[in-house]
Amino acid sequence: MNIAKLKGISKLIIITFFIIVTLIGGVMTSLSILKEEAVNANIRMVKLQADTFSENLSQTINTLDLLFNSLSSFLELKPSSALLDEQFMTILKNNPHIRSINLLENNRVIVSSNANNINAIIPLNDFYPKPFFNQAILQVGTVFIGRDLDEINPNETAKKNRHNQPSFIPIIKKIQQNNKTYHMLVALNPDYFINLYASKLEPHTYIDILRLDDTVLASSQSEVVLCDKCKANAILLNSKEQNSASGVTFFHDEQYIIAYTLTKNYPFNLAVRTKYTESLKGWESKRYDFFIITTAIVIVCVILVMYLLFLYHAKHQEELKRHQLQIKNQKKFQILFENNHFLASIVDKEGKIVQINQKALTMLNRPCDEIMHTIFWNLFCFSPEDKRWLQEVILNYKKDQTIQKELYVVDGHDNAIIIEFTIVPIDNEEINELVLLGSDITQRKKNEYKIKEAYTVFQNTQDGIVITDKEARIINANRAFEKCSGYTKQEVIYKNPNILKSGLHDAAFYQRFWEKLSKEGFWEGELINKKKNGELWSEWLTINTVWDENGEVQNYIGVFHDTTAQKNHEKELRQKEDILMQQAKMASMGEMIENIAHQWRQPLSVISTIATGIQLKHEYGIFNEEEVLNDLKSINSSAQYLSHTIDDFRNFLTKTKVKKIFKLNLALEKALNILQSKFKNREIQIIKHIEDLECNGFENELIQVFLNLLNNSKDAFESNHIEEKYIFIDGYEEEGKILIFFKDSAGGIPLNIMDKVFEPYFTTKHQSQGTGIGLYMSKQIIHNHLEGELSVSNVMYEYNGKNHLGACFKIVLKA
Amino acid sequence: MKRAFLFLVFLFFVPTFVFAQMSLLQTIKENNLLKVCVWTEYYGISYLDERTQKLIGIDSDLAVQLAYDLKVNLEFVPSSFATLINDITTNQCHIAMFAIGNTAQRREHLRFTTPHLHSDIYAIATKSNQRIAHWDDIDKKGVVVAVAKGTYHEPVMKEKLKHATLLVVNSMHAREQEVQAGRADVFMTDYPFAKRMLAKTSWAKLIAPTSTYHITPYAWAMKHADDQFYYEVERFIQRIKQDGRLLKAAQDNSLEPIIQLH
Repeated sequence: MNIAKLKGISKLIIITFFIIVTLIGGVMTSLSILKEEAVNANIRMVKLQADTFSENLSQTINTLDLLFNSLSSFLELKPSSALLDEQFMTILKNNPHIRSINLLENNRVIVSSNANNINAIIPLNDFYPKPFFNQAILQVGTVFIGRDLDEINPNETAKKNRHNQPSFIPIIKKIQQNNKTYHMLVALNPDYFINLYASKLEPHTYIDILRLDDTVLASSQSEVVLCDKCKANAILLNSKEQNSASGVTFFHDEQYIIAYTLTKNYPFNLAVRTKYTESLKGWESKRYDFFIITTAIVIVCVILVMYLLFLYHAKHQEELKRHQLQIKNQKKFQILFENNHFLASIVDKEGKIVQINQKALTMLNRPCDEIMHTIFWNLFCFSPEDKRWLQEVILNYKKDQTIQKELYVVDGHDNAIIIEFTIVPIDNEEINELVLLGSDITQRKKNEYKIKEAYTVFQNTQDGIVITDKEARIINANRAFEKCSGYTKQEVIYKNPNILKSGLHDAAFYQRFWEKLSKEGFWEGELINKKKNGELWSEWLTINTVWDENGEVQNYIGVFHDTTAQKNHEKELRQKEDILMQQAKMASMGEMIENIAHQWRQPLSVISTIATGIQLKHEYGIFNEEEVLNDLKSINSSAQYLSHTIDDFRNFLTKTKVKKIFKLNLALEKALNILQSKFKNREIQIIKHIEDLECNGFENELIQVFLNLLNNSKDAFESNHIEEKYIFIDGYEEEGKILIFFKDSAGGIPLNIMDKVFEPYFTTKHQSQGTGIGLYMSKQIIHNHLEGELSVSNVMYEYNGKNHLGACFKIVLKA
Repeated sequence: MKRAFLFLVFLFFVPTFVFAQMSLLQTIKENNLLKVCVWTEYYGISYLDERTQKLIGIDSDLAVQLAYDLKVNLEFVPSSFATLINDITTNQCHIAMFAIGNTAQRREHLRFTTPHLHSDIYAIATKSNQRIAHWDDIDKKGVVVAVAKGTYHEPVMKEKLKHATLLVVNSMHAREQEVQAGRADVFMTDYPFAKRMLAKTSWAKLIAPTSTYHITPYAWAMKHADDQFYYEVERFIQRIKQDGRLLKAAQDNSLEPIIQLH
């Protein structure tokens, strides 16, 4: 049981306990209230009884008062004894509360209804109240023990216990007869009143007749001492103020419910008291049963209520959970509705928009209040045809219907987009609202088109494409692969591409291959593979690694180009190039031979002249040994010059196949030596600024380039009839490259042929003067053999105070 | 305040020059007895409880105070409104102290002190009388209004009643009896009597006027032309108004709403 449940149960127990305690407390409070009510009811009852008895006593005493008056009047008539006795008898017969009637003169009984009372002396000092104005009022004396006046002890003034002895209450009234003052005394029978009143009372209820000075005159309770002063209590005192009072008090050390009522005009106070415990006995006896039954009912009710509460709570919790789930679902829906990538809207049966998400509003570029409650198909973004379609499908949507269509709409920014439109009902049973979902598939469509395009390319390209998985197993191959290799796609699926191995590449090659591919994710190079029919083919293969999001190899994509034809073509080209090279070389040779011939002409002429001179001198006998030595030195110098020229020629012709490091300025010197006599004859000035640089390459080929460039400048000088012929040759190193500039003043190259000068067979000279392959070969040599660059531009510069225009060839070599 | 002061000054200086002959005051002092007329049926003022024969009321209490101030013995003489003038003029008592209404008729024969009480007129009906619930129900045709003979209610109601029948009875008790018996619908009384009725009976209900009906000042009365005694009593009245005895006596008898301290 989890803590929450335990907490719930303990809470329930505490609440139950609290409720039971509260209810029991309430029951007990109710019981005490009921008890109080019972007490109050008893109080009201005793009060009612006291009032009734008091009223009765008042009337009785009033009658007595009237009797006194009438008797007084009667006595004035001086009736005879017989008449008087008769009158007395009549009175006594009709007034059982009167014990005897007596007339007193000076405290002595002179006339009485009881003959035994005659001459009895009655003390009149203890009668209450004393008249204020000495008027004749009814006065009440203390109780006398005895049946009548004849039996009393007039001296006895102490409190009297009756001990079942008879007693009477003396009541007197002063009367005036013949200017004499008499007292009429009636012996009031207290038993009459006690019998009369007590019989109407419960056994535990008593009645006391008190004089207004609290003297007890009579009581239905035998334990009460007559003539005793009733113990003062608040109720008694209150009764004298208010004429009546009631409540609960102690009387003779016992608790009573008591009511005091004064008689109206006479000094009596009637007390009716009932024993508190006795009067509530019945209630007490029922109280226990009431308490038990009530408690049992309460407990049952509480248990029932708790059970119902528990059920209600459980139901409530369930409802709460359901409600929370509903809220959660609503929240989820709201989140999904707002935060998904769909354009979402909810419409009612009539197509009115009741909810729309932010994405849709952004697409429409409209505020929410503008869109809400409008008809969906009337939105501006739809074409008229789509509007009609939407209206029809929405209004006529049926249960379990699947609606999906691509719509071409215009968004709020006037962009044409493609929406994949779907309709889904919220409640499939009762179609009240529909959810309209739109997905912008514009990009997807574009991607699909691109993929289609790419696939078309994949399938139709002339280059073979192979895609492998990370284990280098072929998973796809295009038609070009099939055509090239002779294998079908199905034959190579899940096979390693090494099925194409020709065997011409060694293990080291493949090791280097995988190392580069693994390290760089890329490999490119020439490969010779074997077709299905065993034929070899050459390909230029490019392999790219495709990585997944974790940086792991996912695929390898190999794109190869069958280079067999190309190779053949290249071979042809090389062959053609060789021919061209040869031709160029031949042309250079021709030039060179011409140069050599030109260079040899002079030294041969010198040798011939000197030899002829020596011969003549010998013939004429003017032979001088010193002169002959000088002549022989000249002949030797010329012969050395011829030998160097031969060396140059020989070196130029030698095909150097090995690259070597050579000095740049020496290579240039060699070229200049070959052309120096020609340049001298043409007054072409060479201005050199060459740094001490070394190159790594084919020196003779570079010399050939130099010769081509210099000869071109020479030819340009001649064709353009330039008078001031300069060729500036600069060479320096810059940023790891050797830069060599050949700048002439031959007037520059016409712009319309600038981009053709390096084309083979392009020449501006007569075919007898040039073949048009010199610059082409120079470019080939620089680019392909020396891995450099050769370019040309026209430059305008100042030299010796004059502006010169010429071509500037720039050679860039590796340092 | 200024009037009271001047009056006191007057009272201080005047008495010694007045009365060459023996005044009532001298008689009282010489006899060491002050006789005060009281009406023993006047609840709250000078009521004699028949049961206890004790005199209870504001004026009986103040009579004791007056005797005390005069340093003489006190004797109460039973009187009534009917016998008031006769009792005073025939010297049955020196002063009548039972909240006597200062009326023109009485002033012809009696000299009134400064009022120490005042009261409006009230009506008492039985609780069971549903015809009389408000003051406006009284002066209607068919309604019988009882007043006691000799009280100021008699001339006042005679003047004010337009539609109801006025029944003049001989005594105060007779008023109650007439109403209890149903021979009258209401009897008119004053504040002290009305309060006592409500307190002592269970059948009575008070009908109070909705606005001031007829305020009557209550004072004590004595013979004319006895200034010495008169002024002595006046001084006594001023004293009891100032020293709180009047207020205390009123509070003891639940009559403080009607005392007149100024």
